[in-house]
Amino acid sequence: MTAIIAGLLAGALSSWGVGGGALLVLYLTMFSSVPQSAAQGINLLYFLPVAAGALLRYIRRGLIEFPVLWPAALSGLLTAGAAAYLSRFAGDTLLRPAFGGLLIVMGVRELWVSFRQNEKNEGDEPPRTV
Amino acid sequence: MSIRQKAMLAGGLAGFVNGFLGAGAGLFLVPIYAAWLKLPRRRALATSVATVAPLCALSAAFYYARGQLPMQTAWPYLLGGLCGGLAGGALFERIPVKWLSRALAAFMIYGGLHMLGLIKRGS
Repeated sequence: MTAIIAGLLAGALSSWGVGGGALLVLYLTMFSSVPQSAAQGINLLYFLPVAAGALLRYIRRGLIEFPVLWPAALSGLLTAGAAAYLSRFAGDTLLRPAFGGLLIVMGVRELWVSFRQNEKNEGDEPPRTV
Repeated sequence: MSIRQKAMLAGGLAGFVNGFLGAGAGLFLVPIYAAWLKLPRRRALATSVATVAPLCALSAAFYYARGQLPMQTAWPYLLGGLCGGLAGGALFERIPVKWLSRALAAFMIYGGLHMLGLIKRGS
């Protein structure tokens, strides 16, 4: 039962695209004693029902930018497959800190942008219909 | 550079992150969609969810093939996730963009610190 509730809460955050997957991996490894690799595997599969639940609505509300989605998803599938295959041979000792540093810089910038938005009170738009 | 080329580069980076690290692709994708492809932030968030879903499906298949996806542990989370996705989707347009952006920023900084090894998860 606690697993369903944890899945529900992390799912709501994940469905907003803000990164709730990190919470689920944290919960699995800390409170459910699932190994890190299995927690990552569960988290990947877990995103599918989360996205299915939310995307039904996003598509109806016209929130998806399809001219961006198709090319991004297509090239993403190619690189994801290649990277998942290569990750068996190459360690991630160099990649992990590189991505980590990049994320921190982007995260700080993201915070800065959101506080500027607060002043100007913009950054949203009325939903379009498909 | 056309929108399609930019989208392919952004998606390619997301796929690379997703395949190599197993998570965090959306954290890179939303700011790129917003700043480089000039999507309004709410569209950037929703479109990133749609982009990351197929990548997760592919990566999950790799994890499953390697025996790193214990279905017996996973299913209650999947059930909760479906309910969370439906609830989150219904609430999405009521959350102010600035709070979504701040939550995203917090997860990015957390994820970054974790990748640098400055935060340890339980093992």
